[in-house]
Amino acid sequence: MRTKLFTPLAIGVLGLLVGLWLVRPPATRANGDKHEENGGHAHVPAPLEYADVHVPLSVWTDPAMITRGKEIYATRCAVCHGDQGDGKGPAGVALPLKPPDFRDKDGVAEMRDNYWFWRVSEGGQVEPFKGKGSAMPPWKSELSVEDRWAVMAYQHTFSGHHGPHVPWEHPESVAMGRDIFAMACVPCHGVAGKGDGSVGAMLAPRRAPQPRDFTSAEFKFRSTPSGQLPTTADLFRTLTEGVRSGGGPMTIGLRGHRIMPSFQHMPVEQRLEVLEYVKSLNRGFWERSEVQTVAVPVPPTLTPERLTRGKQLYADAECLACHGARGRGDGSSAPTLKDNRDLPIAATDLTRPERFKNGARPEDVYRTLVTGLAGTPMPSYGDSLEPDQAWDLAYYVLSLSRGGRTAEAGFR
Amino acid sequence: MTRAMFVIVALVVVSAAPSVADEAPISGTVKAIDASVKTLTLQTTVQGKTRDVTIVLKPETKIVKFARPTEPGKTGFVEQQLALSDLKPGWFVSVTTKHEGGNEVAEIVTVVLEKPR
Amino acid sequence: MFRRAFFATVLAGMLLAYVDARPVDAIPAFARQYDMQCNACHTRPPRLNRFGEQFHMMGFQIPSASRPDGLVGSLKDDGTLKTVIDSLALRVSGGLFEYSESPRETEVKFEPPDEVELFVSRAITPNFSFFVEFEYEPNATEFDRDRGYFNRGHKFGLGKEAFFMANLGGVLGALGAPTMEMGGQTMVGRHGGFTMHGPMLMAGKIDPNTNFSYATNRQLILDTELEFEKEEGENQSKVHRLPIVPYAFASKFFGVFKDRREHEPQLVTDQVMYNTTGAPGADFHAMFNDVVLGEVGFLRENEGFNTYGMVRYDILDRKELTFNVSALFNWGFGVVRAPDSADHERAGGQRLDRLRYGVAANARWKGLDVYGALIWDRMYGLPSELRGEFDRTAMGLTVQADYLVHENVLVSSRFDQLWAGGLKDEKLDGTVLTAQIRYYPWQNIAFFVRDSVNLRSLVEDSPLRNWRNQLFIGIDWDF
Repeated sequence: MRTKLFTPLAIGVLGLLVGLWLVRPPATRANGDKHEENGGHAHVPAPLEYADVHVPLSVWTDPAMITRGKEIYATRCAVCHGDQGDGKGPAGVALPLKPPDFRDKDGVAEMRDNYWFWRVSEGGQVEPFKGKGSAMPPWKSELSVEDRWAVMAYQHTFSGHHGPHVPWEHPESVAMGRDIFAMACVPCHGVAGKGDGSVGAMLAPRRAPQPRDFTSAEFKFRSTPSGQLPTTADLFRTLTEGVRSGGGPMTIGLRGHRIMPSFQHMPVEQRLEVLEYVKSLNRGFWERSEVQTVAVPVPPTLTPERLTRGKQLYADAECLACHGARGRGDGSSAPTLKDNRDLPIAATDLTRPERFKNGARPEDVYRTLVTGLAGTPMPSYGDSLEPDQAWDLAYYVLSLSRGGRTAEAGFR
Repeated sequence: MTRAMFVIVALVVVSAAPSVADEAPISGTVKAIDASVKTLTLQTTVQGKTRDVTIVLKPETKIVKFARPTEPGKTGFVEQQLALSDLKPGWFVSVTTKHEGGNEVAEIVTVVLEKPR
Repeated sequence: MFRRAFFATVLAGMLLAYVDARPVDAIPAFARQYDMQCNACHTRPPRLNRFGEQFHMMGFQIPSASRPDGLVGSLKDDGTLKTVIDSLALRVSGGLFEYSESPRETEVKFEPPDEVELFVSRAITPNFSFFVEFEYEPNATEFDRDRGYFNRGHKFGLGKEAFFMANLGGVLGALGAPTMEMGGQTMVGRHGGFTMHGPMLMAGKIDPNTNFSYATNRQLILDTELEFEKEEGENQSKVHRLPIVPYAFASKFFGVFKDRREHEPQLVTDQVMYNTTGAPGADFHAMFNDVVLGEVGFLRENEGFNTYGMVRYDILDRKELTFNVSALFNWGFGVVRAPDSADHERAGGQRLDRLRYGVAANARWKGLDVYGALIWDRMYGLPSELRGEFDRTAMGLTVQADYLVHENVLVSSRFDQLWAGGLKDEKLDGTVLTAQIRYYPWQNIAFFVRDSVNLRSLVEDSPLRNWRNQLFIGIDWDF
């Protein structure tokens, strides 16, 4: 019986292996390799410095920009990339690493706009292209930002795509991120990223915090002013470090442990990929005209005078209404606090810096004071506190730490 | 039956073997030009490794660059012949070579960029 | 001696967990390893939520974020002591108080928790992990095979599960299948097209049930004990009361035996494939395009073995709702013995094959978690002499609903319906309704009160239906 069964089982397993090998969907940029032999784009996401550079939507179809781009392309790009955008310019065909073919509809569809801008700006002078011997020059010192957008818009016309070059027009450009999101993020953030996964309701029933709704305009942990979306670097930080629990019921012995896991072991490139997918759920990332960040000055020296001023500010700014006189989150308003989903939310226990969701270094507390925590009752003090005052208050907050920790203590 | 299984497994493994790549031109930044011995030294980077490659130029070696035609109404690019002395350090070139007597001998040198990147 | 060493290790582990310098302590292994809250992976321990299922699926690792250097990296970064402690978890569970009513007697007893389990689990590399359970029961009920009757005594050894899990995606990649790495975990396929997480091989002593829509190996309503009578000096025991278990997964047949030599009965409520007590076997499961889970495997059962296949389809989370449905097919080759046609108290010479198939579904919406399974069984190979006396088909239905009325309070209710098969002069159907309240003062400890009611008529000499009401107060505590 066993022998009779083994043979068909073995054939079945082998058949599965052969079948899987035969069924190879076309290699795509998201999967590497195909385009690399023909030159151009290895599958890497734009680094953080470029991740927030999204081309304004109107540029892609603006005739004036396309005309401008055509002029630039003819003089600077066509010798390699070809007058037809086919990568067969006379110098390009002589190269071992061939320029991409902009007429390749699928290849272009997989290129995100920030990646494209990065390539035009830095050329082949950055990894992984430098290591492959890329000939592409960096144009950032010769072409203005608008000129680079213009040449991209013109290059885009070779592909036959119409409309703006954005992920919701080209979902293949975020295919890897979507797969990662489906595997790791959907149970909490929901299949559409609305923060409506099944996990949140049991993890924090009928209270905050709930998983973030990526389609909304309100993100808690930012380095951007109040009312603005975060930077990609902000999202990267949250993804890397996870989100700690601030306490609340049922967490004796587990306070400070994360409610959102840390994805620090996910390779950097894959973290960037999943963040591009997350951003694609919210068009606001493409519609904002510029990305401003809050400047965090170098932390000044801690002095007793700062703590005295900070204590006064703590009262004047009505921090104790929520956080309490001793910072334990037991202020008079604390029981009534609600978040933007109308769910009860606890005021942070400032005596436990290890639970600060937005970080507990002095710079982190400063930033939190200035940006506020969108979607929560924690306001932004960016307009009401001078930088020096914000440092006073930040140091005072950290001085509330239990166990007499110094203001330099604290970690995320 | 066992034999058949071995054959299937062997076919699958063999077919997974990578194919052999073709020879490619050498591209890189001009590091040095020695007109006396007619050599060109390029700094080239392949698979993350940067090295200097000295290429020998023969009399029949072509050195070309491409520019837009000056005649009005003409499109495309025209090929312009250059001499070895026209090449400058820092330029980016691509060289089609053949192996000869242990040396890399240039057949065509194409100027890709006439300036440091 | 091994038992003493085990207890010494357990005690040492508990002490170390408490004296550990870090402020967070006394929490189970994975919470420590990944610095996570328990309820990030559990609806309420031990039941897994969707993220916990993904975590289990990927070999006890954060999906797409495996530690690339695995155990070695942990030893280097965290040191040996923390790595060892973080790999351990202890579970103490069982009743503290029992009250049961039957026509025969009303029983009230206080007892310490009756089960202690030590878990050791960790990912060694992103594609290889292990999970081992050691179990100690001071008052375990076991069929003494040497003597041929049920007996009570200390039981120590491997618990339900002891297996390794290997991601075979890399093997397929080596054979030419297209693969991609996601957080160190190998996936087969291409982004934007066909994707397969795995296949994962789970081999050892396993219960493949975790991936089913109704996962009985992480139950919130614990199984009760088998009650039996054995007089001192007597060479036989009499089953007095059968345990309350999810009937859908039970053996369902009266009068069959596990083996011939020892004549150990396979009780109608015994846990068998697809909810075993853990059996040697190998399981392959894989997730296709994040929505379809396929599972095949084989598992030993008694003198025979099972082959099975299961498919689960997930509707991914939205509006705080997630839903999945599963179908199971199982063929057990010679897994039980028919009774002897002349003496039904003894096992006969004929081994029976069992066809089992069923469906299950699970819906989670906000604080409500509902899951159920309907399983049909049919025996094959029955001796002709028994044809008229033996009902070859049986069916079981189990439906459970859990609701989080408050962050600390989970109420559960389970309905079990058994349409039994087996010897017609013995078989009886069963219907049980169980209600439970679990109070979680902290995430890793629950006190429960549960009451099970036999909804059918009392049958005094039937171990299945000779009781009306069983009330338990107990504890389920994970360190």
